[in-house]
Amino acid sequence: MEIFLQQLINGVTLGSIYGLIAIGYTMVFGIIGMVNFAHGDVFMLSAFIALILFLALTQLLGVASVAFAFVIVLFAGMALTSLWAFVIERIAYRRLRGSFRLAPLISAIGMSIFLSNLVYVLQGPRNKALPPMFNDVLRLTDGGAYDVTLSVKQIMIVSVTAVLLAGFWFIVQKTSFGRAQRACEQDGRMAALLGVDVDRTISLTFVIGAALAAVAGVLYIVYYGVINSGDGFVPGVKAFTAAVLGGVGSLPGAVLGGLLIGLVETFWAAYFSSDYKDVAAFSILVVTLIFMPSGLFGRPDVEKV
Amino acid sequence: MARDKAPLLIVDQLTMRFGGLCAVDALDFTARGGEITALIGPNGAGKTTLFNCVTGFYRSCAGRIALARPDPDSPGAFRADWREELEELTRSTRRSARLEGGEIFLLERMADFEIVKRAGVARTFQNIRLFRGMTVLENLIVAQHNRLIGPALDLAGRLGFGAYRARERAAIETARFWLDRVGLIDRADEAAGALPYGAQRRLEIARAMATAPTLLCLDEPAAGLNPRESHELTALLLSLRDDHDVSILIIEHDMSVVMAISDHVVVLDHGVKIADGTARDIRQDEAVIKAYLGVADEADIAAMGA
Amino acid sequence: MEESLTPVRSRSRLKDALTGAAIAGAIMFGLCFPILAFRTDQNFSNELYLLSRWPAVAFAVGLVFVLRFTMLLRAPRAARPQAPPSPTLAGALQRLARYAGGAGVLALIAFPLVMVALLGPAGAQKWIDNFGIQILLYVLLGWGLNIVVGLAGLLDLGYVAFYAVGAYAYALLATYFGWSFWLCLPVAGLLAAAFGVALGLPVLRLRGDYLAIVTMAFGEIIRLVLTNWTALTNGDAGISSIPRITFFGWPFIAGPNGFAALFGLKFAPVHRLIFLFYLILALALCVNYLTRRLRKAPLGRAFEALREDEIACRSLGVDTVATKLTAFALGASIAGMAGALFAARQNFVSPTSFTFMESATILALVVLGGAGSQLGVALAAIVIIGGSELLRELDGLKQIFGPAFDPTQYRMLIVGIAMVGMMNWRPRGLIALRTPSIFLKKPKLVVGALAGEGRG
Repeated sequence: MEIFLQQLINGVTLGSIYGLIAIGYTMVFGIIGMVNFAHGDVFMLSAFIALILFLALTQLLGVASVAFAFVIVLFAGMALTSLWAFVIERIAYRRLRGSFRLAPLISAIGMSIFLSNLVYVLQGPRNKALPPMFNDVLRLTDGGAYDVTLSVKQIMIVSVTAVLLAGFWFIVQKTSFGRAQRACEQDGRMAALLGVDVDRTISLTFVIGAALAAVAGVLYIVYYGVINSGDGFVPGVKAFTAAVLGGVGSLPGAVLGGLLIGLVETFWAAYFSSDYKDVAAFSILVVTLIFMPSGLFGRPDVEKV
Repeated sequence: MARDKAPLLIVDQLTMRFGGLCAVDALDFTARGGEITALIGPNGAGKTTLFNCVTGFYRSCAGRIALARPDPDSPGAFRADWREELEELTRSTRRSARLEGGEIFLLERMADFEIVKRAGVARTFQNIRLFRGMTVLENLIVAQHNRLIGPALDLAGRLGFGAYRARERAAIETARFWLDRVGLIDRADEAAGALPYGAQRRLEIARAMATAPTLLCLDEPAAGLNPRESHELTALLLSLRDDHDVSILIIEHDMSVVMAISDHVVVLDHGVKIADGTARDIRQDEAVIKAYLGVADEADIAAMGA
Repeated sequence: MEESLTPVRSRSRLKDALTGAAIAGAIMFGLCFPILAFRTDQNFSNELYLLSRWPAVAFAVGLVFVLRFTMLLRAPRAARPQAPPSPTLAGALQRLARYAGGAGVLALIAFPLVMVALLGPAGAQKWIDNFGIQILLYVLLGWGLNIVVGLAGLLDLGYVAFYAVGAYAYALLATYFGWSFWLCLPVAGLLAAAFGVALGLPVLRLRGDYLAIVTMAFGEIIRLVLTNWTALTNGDAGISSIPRITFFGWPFIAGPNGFAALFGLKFAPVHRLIFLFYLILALALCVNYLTRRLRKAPLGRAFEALREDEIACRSLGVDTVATKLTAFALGASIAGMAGALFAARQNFVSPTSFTFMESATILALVVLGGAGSQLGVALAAIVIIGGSELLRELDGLKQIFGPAFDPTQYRMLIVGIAMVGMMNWRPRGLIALRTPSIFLKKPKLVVGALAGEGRG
């Protein structure tokens, strides 16, 4: 029971991170029908940006308060990562809209290869570790065979995720951008005829997706403390799995999918074998795509003949 | 109008739903061999859905779609009434049954490619679907795929050796014949995607004919054609029926075409059949006029009255 | 009128160009800011510290500023209309391609002999192995994937899985059961084809990009299983001392039973490499011949039709599932045989050779060469694989970039940029022309822009 509770807490923490990344996949897929293969690498890049900013703030500028540094890193990381996404969309995807169907996907794969190797070349092959922070731990159960703990980090991750998701939900539901976004999702050409700036809307979609991935990146580096240039691929695939599981195009689906994947992964590692935890995630992806391609909340995809 | 021809396609209680939307609702109709049967009705009446059920692209929710295919070499030998055998086939789990002089099929039990291959149902699409990057000739050669690959065990043939040569020559002859028939023989080596619109429509019909069908299903073949092209299309379809022994099921909005060629007209509205009869009967049908007055333009009504 | 306006216009254009370039420079600064400006490094107590690289940032920003400035100055506002590729030029390219193919084969046949003549048997080893054999293996893989992606239009991102199946098939069968290479080669091909069918059966009805993702997941699953199933595969440590290839039973060893003695030659290790080179070359040429043949056969035409429009295919009675499976199995069997050759070349296999990056590299060869074009894929393999090997050879570069300089990382960096650039510039690849498989009067080349979308 204690182990179960502990894994539940760990799983929800990990799942929040996956959910944040998954939103980027699901929004981009919803609006231009493309699997943004480079999104996982954008997440990895943001974790590196966060790592360097932390070091710069604490070592070069001598900021003593970790909490203060965290807030700055969070917002600066979101801004800088958004800039990357903006440029990537401009260079790698914009001109390919309306080209043959696989062109954007191949371009995205190229972008993914480019980003991970760029970081490798610029920052070197080794794992980069940050000194641990926010180390306080709450003990939830006491005296049993096993103490269930909830760390400040975990509270932080879940609450930051919740607050940002609420803000993001507000943007998509209530603002004119959100309306334009949903209009483009339904029918881009029609939206353009009605005066929606489609280019700008798509650009903003990429930027928002990347900003949320950057939040995930900052939280990831705080939680795990280690990042490597190859670390974009697997979390990216898991987040994509989350998006597919939740139903591509559905925002609540992406978050729920992220939580599910996080839970499956932690429970799998705890009860079965941590060697095969990635196999479990990949298998969920395959099984979902084959048997339930519209996911939990997605619209069924009726083949147009 | 000759109403004594044998039934070719029998649709019974066909129902197709998408989520809550009922696109086709318990539809019954019969198309007879050697006739042109037109399906008309306002937009969203369920015509294309019906086509997709007949050709196996959609799996219908309920109902029966039965088709008879007389043997091509002895067209006269097939019996006119096969209802009894059909009931027997329906009770079994089989997909087809051999009869004297032909074969009957239950299309709802078959996969789309089998419906073309075994039951001989070919179709065209509302938005033309050609192999645009392949040449006109290649389009017609692909249509003869099943005849070209020959027996299942002829691996050498599959790679283009052996007996394949003779089969390929025959396929080129067939292609040449149909290209000549639709006036595209001089453009055989051009990319299909480079043809003008009207020629693409004709090519799609030629390609469907190259599969040697018993039943040809045409989804709005006159859409986007100019009056001269529609006129040529009318002549072509009549000649397919009369000279090539093909029965035609056609969806068409152009009433002048429908009235000129149809032996039998079925009118759908909101997934339900509202009228069924000869072109002349339909013209005077109250329900049809009412359904059409709501949506169609004056020209259509004029054409129906003409 | 014109004259009086020109200075004003050029002044405002100058101003616009300056503003535009300044914005581009500012964006570049934002991109460079933490990731290029600071390098993280470990000190002795394993703590990270930052090394600043401001000159590099200044250089990057300046470069972008200048490039953007000249670009804006030269091409004001209105985008130049893109000239469609002219058919005469295309025809000339195609004719050239025919000769290039023949000349290329001759050059390849001569390559090992020339190398031995120039550098002696010992000196030639490295060139025949690192350049000749490695490039040919990639050509073989590229041609295999070309059947799946280029002809049938199915995007397979897990192609390396079949390569791994072939390599491990030979490694395991040879080390556990002592099977000979000549028995293992076809078995590896068949086993990989069986995997292709088994994996393909459930996934081939998925739409294009989903198919790509699922195949990628399958590729990763196979690699993870190879890594974690240590009892069979020895995990990350890999399988070593795989038996070396023999000359139809005569091993390449010194001594009376060896290949050298059989032909009365002086023993040299390069013999084995030359033999392997010709073996792979022969296999590659076979694959090439069969693919060309296939294009003129019903099956190949069905592949291409499938790439053009799957629904139309179904409406013409083509069994699309069986056709796709055949394409998958054909591609997989070629990768399987390439895998066996890879294992025979290295005498060692481990899961690290079969990462997603490897699939991406092979896909890049197909994409950059022009999907469907055999010659294009071969050229791409020579440029990308050969180029990065050549970088490795240039010792001078190590002195400039430091001892940690690893050209293979730059290779992937360049591959990434090239894939993005190619999709933007020529989504159909370098040689984007299609020769019809059959004609009545005269074959006319089909411009790539008309060719079909491909579903996956």
